[in-house]
Amino acid sequence: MKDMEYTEHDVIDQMLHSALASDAVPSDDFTARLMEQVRRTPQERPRHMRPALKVLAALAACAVIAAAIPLAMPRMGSAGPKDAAMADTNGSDAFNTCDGAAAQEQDMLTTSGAPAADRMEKSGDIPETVTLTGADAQKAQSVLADMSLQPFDQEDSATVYELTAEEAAALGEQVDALYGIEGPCTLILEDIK
Amino acid sequence: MKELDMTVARAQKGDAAAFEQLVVTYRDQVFRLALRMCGNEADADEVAQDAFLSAWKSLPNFRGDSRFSTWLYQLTTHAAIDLLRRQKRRPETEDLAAVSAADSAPSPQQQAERTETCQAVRAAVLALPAEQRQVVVLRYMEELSYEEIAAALKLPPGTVKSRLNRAKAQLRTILAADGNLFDVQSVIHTDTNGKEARP
Repeated sequence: MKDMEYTEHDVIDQMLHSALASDAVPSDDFTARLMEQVRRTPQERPRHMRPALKVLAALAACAVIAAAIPLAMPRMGSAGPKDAAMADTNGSDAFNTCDGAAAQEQDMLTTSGAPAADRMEKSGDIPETVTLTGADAQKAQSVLADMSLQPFDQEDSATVYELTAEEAAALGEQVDALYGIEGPCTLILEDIK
Repeated sequence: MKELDMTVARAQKGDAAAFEQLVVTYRDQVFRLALRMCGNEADADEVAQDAFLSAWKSLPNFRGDSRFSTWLYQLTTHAAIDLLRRQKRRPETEDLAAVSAADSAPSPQQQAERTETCQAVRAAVLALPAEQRQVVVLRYMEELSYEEIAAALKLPPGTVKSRLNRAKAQLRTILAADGNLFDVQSVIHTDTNGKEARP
């Protein structure tokens, strides 16, 4: 009677159980043949590492990452063009070019009256920042006045000009310290006597 | 530690004698599983040998996440699928006679009706795609739970269930088309030993 309550799933289940039941056995020499192969076959090496090796591997990985971080990070430049220029003026005839993070591409520029090794960037349209001090600064200010150019900003000891490429080139023709300058620039004049 | 676990542990360390004990313990089950997967004794023999040899080689990396027997069934079904793919064929239904001959043969009078249906079911199982057949055999022959099958085949339990349902739906279609679904009562009433199969 209970059989009558079987669902179709039960029927299939029963059929599978019965049909797949088996008491087949392998041939008599099955084990002997297998063990012959087993004795000729080496086992794999365990893949799981010992705990001590795991710790060592983790430490080595950390060391590699720690060493790689400074190399991967871009070199940090000065906070800004003006700050960089202000902070780097210690010679009377020196001029500096520096522009924040773009200061990575630098070139050494020597001028006739500027013994200091100053940096000048050559990065396309990004304005260079040039700082002149002493006599060079005084000469530049005089020429700029002749060119009727007004300062962009003025502080106690520094006067700042924003120059176009043409203005900078014209100035460079008259001020030796700026000879050969290309492209727009921010000019900072300090210690004008 | 249980005796079986100790034997496995010794075999993991390369003790061939311990491994031989495991072979003797499991060879019949592995062979039958292979037989149901492949459909003929020659292939079943090859698959069972491959499965045990594979077990020997990779035993050092057996971590005991599942039972040793479940792991062995997994290796067996994989070996069977590999063999069938190498041969690029599905198990041949002509081999069914050999499969049946390998099984115990109860009294012909008791089993007269049942034999034909069982053969039809086996033929239908062998006609299933290998992945479905694998699940069916592990479930109905080795009587593994869904979770055990999932662990053995590294599948989510939901996938095991859906494969099994698809397999059963396909079996139902095949058996109904052949008119064998109506003969089921003869299968239900008696199992291979002639006892009632289900209360």
